[in-house]
Amino acid sequence: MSTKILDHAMLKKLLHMIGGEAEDFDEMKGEFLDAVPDILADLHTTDTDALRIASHSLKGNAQDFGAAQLTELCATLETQCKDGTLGDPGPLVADITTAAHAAMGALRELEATDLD
Amino acid sequence: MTDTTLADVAAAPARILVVDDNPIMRLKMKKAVQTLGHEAEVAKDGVAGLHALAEMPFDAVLLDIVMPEVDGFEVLRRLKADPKIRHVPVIVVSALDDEIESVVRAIELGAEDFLPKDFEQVLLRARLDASLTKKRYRDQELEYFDRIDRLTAAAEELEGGNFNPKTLGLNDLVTKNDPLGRLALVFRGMATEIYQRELKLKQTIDTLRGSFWVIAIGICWGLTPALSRIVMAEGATPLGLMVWINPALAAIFVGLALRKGVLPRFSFRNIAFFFAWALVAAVLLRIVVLNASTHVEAAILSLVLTLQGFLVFGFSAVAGMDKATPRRLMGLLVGLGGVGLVLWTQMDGNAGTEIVWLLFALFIPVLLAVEVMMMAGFRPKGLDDYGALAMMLVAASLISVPWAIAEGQTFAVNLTNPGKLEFTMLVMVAVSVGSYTMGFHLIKTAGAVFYSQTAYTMTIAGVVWGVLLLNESLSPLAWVAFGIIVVGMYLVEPKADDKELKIERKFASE
Repeated sequence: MSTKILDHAMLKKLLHMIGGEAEDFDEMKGEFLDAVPDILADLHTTDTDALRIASHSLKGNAQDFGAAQLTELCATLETQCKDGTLGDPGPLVADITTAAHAAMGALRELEATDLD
Repeated sequence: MTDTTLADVAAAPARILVVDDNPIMRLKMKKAVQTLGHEAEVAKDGVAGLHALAEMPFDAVLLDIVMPEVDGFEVLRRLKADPKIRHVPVIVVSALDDEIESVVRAIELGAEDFLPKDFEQVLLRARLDASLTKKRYRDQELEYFDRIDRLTAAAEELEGGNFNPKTLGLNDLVTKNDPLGRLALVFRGMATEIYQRELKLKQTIDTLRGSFWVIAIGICWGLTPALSRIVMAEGATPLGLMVWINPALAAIFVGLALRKGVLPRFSFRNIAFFFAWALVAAVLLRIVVLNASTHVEAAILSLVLTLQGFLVFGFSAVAGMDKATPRRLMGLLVGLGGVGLVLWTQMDGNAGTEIVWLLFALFIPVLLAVEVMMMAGFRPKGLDDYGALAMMLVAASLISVPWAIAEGQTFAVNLTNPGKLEFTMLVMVAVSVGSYTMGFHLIKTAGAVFYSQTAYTMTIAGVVWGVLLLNESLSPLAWVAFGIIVVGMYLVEPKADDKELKIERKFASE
């Protein structure tokens, strides 16, 4: 299940980047699981600028953890905020939330050793 | 500057600040930086980043652009406006695909480089290394300029005549193994050499000058026994002599002090000092001399007197007031040898001296040494020579005149028709004025130990004056003894005072 949601090639790159230690990877994973719900909460705003910053932030994290769908959805929201083409962000934010929870679920089940 | 290669410079561990509001990104960059062997600190937003930069030194900053409130641009603006941190290289971290304009803007604001958010480790290493190398060369350049400034300051000190290597501030510069370090080393070496040479020259001049004063004081004081014997023959008494001489000396020194406007203030501390001094110099010393001279042979008494130098040396060593070295002790021993040689030729083997009186005579050098130490170590600060002598002699008169009257030892002098007695007493006053003035000056400039050698010259001069004025006989050995005493003076040498050494020198063009 996790293979579809998370791109292991990107996760391997992340593991290499932080030194290759399973312990450090677990710390990164924990930080992701802690921080993402907060960022998702930041998306529930009417302030376009705050929305842009939150989507930009989540996009970067999703990219690092190989969550391709989540990255794409965040990029769309950020672009709309920047271009001023944003209508009702509600449906997009709902999609992002679903994709984020899927990514978190997949990440919870993943161990650093799975990437070998 | 140095032989360090680019790789060496970049590879050294550095302290990197990561500024990012996203905790996951912050942690990723921190771990990536640590993986490269550097130290990493994190700041959760722009404000915290600026605060960290103000608090501690960093070698580079990894800065996110998109942050709430104070964003990366604002951090860059403030950093570049602060002279203390503007030189810290900043690498902006951005999602390149859609932020190319932001990157351009950041570089225009002074960012050193940029890094995409999904960077590869090799790219992070390359960007960091490049920035750190530049930063370190810049640091070296600044340190180099600082050293040039300090070398220039040292050169100016030299030009001003200060060759003391301790105060040139070159000691840490010479430890650097590069051309500037070697220049500083040569600089300091030359300054030290000149300084040592000048110091030695000054010491030699001081010794010669001091020796001149020791001889002059000896010649002056040495006259006293011969003059005393002349006035005694004319009917004077030792105590009665003090009634005339002490007030006369007091009047002369008060006059000299008033002329210079340097009469000391009447504080309890000053008055106590002058009375103590007068008691030692004018009362106790005279009582002991008067009694001892009638029981101890003159030559032996003179020899005992010369022990003063050793006592002063001992007091100085214990109190740490003057330099007490084996060399100086050796000098005093050589001087004693010289005096002993003269006195040996004068010794009357038939006149036996009782051991009790010999021990009593030892009070003379003890009191002389106490007087010298009082003047060298306990003299109230800021006292002028004349003012101090004036007050001491006033105190001495106040003690000695009532004493002489009580003892009934006063005698009259004929002021309207002065004879041999009156003229000799006048010479005694003049001799005392010269001796006191020179003695005080010598103690101040050469120290108590060097001064105490006047006991030798005084003894020798006493013998020579006896020959000249009273037709006493003198052995040729006395002249050998003179040479030996001079060698002693060379060994004792005056106290060194290099604080005042300033050499006149000018390198700059007029």
